Amino acid sequence: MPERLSSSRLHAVAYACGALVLASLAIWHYLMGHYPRILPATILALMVSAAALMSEKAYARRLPVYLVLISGYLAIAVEAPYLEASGALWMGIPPILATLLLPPGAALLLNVLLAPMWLFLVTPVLSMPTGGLQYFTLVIISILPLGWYMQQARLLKTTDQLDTQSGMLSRDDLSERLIAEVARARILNQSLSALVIHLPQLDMANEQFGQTAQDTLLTTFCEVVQRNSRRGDAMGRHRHSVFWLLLADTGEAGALIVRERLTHALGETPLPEIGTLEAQARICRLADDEYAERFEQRLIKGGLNLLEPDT
Amino acid sequence: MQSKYKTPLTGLFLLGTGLVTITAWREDDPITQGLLIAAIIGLTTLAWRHLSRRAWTWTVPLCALLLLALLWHAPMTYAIGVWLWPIMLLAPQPRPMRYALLVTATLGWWHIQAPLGVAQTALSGALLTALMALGFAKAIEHNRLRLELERRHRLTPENSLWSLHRLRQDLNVEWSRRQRENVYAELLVVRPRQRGHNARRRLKERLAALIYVFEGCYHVDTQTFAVLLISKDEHHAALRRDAISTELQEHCRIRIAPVAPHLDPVKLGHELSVQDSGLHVRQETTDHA
Repeated sequence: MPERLSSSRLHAVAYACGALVLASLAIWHYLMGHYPRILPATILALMVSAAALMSEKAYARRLPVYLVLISGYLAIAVEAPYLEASGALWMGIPPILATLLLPPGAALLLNVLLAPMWLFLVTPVLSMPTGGLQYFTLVIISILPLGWYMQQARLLKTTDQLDTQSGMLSRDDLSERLIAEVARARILNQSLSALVIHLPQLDMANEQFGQTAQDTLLTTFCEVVQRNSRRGDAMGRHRHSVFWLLLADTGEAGALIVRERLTHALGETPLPEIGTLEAQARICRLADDEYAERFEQRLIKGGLNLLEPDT
Repeated sequence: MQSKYKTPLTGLFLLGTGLVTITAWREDDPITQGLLIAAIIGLTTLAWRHLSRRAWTWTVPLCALLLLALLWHAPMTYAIGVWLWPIMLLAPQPRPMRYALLVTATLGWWHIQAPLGVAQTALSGALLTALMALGFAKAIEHNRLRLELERRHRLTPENSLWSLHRLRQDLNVEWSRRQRENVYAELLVVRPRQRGHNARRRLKERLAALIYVFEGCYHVDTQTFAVLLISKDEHHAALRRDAISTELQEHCRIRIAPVAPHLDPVKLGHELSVQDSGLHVRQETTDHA
């Protein structure tokens, strides 16, 4: 069941299989009496075996890949002069190996740069135009699925709404959501308030207690806010430690209640090392004739005031 | 479709098509030429339609069959093609297709073994196995990306068209907001009478112009769009409903249902697809007592 196997386990299996190929090659040379060709194959087999052993170790991610790639290249280069009609078949190995092991851009570059070498090695069996055509067709077609994934990854990045660290709305989408909520409040004749929340501990957590503590702090904070706000109230991260909570159909009094409830709930949540959560929050209410841009400016200013209380 | 996100990859696809075309042109054998031309058609289709999953679902098996036929017909000339099997594993496809590719890869390798001799056959088989394993590994690495893509909310970067996943979430949110804020919310699903990309694009643009910035436009399935309409009360809702339906009814069929806890947009979309009249408004069945 490939999906249940991890990718690094499959890499190890593949490398082990490759090592087996090279070892069989060495044995074959021994049986055939090609004694000078045994040594390179043996060394390469050992290199690939080492890569197979290393591939499940987390500390050396790239090394096995490079070892296998270099061994594969050397094996083909050493054996190419002795291959007869089947040279055309083996010429396909280097570009496919690069495509499967390297990121798409690097693989394409390497395949194009090394093309003259591989083509030179197969010229005895295959004329230059035919060999070149086959090689480049293989290179281009093999890069297509990876190109598709790259493009999809880019699409995902441009459409992603959430802050990568906290899972809340990111800054741009928060601003977009604010404009929508202001329009909604105007058309439905509702009031709109926002809480600007500053979490000072977040600034220090990384330096004092490390990344894990900071992540825990952030997730706990998000959970507490979510538990204490209504469904549909948008929460977003405007700055590193400043968050906005948009409260639809809520006037000043309602916002005050939410703030009290929230600061109380945060104060009741102890975290190891850090202690209880402390947050400062400021209420901003949308004025009757205020534009979304102006309201956003006010929220930004409110956040700055919380960050620097003296000014 | 967004040309900005398409151009470089389309270029690569066309380059690949060009190379296959040259191969087909240099080829004398009509059967091989026919197979290569079929491959050219597949690649050209993908060049323009590579964003749609459906295009991939039929191109991958097609390419696999073509390659198999090519290896069977001219094993030595196109022997290099045998290394394309692990690459095919990478393309987006359902899981059973990946297993089918393992079988076709074995068959393809079997076709080229006769002229190779025992030693090279064994070596190439073992090497192909290794590369297939690498292909599977890479496909698994891409799985996470695929899942994230399916879960994403915003479908295109430049306009706010949202996914079905997001619609389900928003329906829940709107239901609770409807009760809390005492507003009226309804879901409008709409389906263009004409098929085709242009009709859908026109409808999307028209919908975007008809709704407020806080109402979302969603993609229910390839043919169906949905809009969440939020109004002050039932009277305003009826006015907007009329305005939108007179605007759209000429080109589309419409079905409207008030937002309720178990409203399923997909089911509503199915009902719309079999609906005879141009407009159907489901009445509220829940009593507020």
